[in-house]
Amino acid sequence: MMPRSFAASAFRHAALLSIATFALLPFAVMVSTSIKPANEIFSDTVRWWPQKLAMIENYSEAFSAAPLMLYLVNGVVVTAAIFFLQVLVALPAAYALAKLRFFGRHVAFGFVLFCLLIPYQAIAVPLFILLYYVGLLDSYSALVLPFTISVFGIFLMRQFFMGVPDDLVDAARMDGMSELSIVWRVMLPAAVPALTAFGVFSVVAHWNDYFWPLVAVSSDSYFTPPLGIMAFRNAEAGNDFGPLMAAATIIVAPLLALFLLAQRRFIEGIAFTGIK
Amino acid sequence: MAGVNIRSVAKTFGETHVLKGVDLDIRDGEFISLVGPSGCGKSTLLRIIAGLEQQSSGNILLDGTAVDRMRPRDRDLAMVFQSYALYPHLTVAENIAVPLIMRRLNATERSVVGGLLPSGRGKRKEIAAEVERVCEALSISMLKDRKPAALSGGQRQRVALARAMVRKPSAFLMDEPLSNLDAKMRVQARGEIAALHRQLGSTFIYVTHDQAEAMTMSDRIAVMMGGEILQIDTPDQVYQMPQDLRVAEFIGSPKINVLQAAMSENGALAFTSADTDSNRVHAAFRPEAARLAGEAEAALGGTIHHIENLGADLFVQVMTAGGDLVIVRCDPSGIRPAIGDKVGIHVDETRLHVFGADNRRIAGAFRLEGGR
Repeated sequence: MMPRSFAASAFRHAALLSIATFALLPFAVMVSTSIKPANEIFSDTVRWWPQKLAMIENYSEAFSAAPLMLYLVNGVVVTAAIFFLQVLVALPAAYALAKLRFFGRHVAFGFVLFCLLIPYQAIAVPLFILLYYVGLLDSYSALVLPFTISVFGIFLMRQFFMGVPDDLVDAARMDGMSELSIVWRVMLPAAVPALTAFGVFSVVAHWNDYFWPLVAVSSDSYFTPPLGIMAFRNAEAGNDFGPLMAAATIIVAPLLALFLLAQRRFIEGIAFTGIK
Repeated sequence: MAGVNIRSVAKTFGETHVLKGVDLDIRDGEFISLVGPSGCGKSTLLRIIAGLEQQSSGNILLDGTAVDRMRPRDRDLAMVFQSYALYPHLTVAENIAVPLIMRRLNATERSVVGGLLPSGRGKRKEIAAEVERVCEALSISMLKDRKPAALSGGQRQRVALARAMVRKPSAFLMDEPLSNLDAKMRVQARGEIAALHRQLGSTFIYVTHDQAEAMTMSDRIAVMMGGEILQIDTPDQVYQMPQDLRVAEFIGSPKINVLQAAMSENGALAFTSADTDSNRVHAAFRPEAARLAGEAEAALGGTIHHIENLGADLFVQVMTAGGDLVIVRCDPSGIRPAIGDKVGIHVDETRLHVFGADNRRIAGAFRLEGGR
């Protein structure tokens, strides 16, 4: 039994590893390029580790050629604000859709599903015009406001809340909680695993978003990291790939750290084993 | 402390009538059980009393005041749920403290910075002391820092009780709180809840589908079926004087024996399954109201089909000639009958219940006449 199951598991791992390698290859090239001097980047031999290490030069160039720190701070401010506001809207909405009985509940949920189908590029132009009239273009508000109502978040949290026992909600009502207290004191702690998942989706999507910041802001003091990267492409010296890749690596790093942290929460976060 | 008055409360979900105008007066300090098969409306009635559900018509009065428009939190009732419904992210002590925190602390004192306010800190100290007292009363002090996931079923049930008790509500509502416990724990918890009721002297409204729970704990039992209360009486009365055939069949274990009979004008009964012109009724008697007798000398006879030996009691199942299964309680120390024996069944006429075709009890004295 033993050798056979070993062979099977070796095969499984080999298959998974090859797919993972394929997916990670561009990422490896990015990291590798970020530590190479310019002449080695364009050499015709593939080398993963450079003969002459240019890590310090490239990374310091990345920070000095453009205000990369500012872009990173912008990115943190914008994604954090978006996620915070999304939770603020999505949790009460999801709770109402999952646990309250009111006239038009099914229609309201139908609208949520319908809105899931609308790609946000489709409404980018109306949004742009709207923000122009309100006078909010080229500001943090322009970057944050369009994403505060996340129908995906409402949908995801609603599905999760459906699984929360009604007795728990009723117990909270008997204990004297208002409906909003129930959302923040009972549903939120229960929903940490789902909220973590939603947080990863939301932060990744908005940290990496290139399209909307490009439309909404023009002054580089509001640039988010993906816009900031373009500073390297358009530098007068031509395409400066070493520092460009160094900047790209720096920009991806926080996401990776976040994901690794959240991954642990996913596993611990089975909060509902104590109910029955 | 409060009495609860239920005035023709009805509840409909679309076309379904879950409650058909229920009237019930619960005295202050009484332990009353709402018992019935699942789907009889007992839980719905409890949830309407709690304010978790709105009745379609009728009124609920607490201590003489109508509370129909009041939210659950303003009714001063506490509820223990079947699933216990403990907050999974809070420790036992925090779970028990929730009702007090939500009522005594204002919004700022409850918030994160609230712990720094002197007024909030004083109140939190008081609350902690009260939680400690309740924990000691239910001997769960050693569990205070555990999360519900780390507790056994019996421990969770106690924590749920403690959370209900801590606020000293005017009445306790319990929705099958013992049904998630194993049989042994259930008997123990039954005694504990009854003792708790005696000690607190509060009104207890207890919903269960288990007639044994209702019989052992209650001052009065309300037997519900099909959205109506069939009978409200003391456990003794419900057992000995059931007013409805369905009550007689629901209460008591093993089940009451019910046989078809023909009744003549003068109160003489004859067991028969045949169609006759005379008045057809249901004649019912409990296993302990009958004894085995000689084949010839009893109104009813048959063959012993099975014997259940419970140690203290012997339940003998007799298959009658008419094809009915009749259970007779015997003393195990007497002569042991054997399966296959032909026996007669002597029924104590004073403990015979007769129900009409409408399932209602027919009062009077009855005489059994010769069998088949």
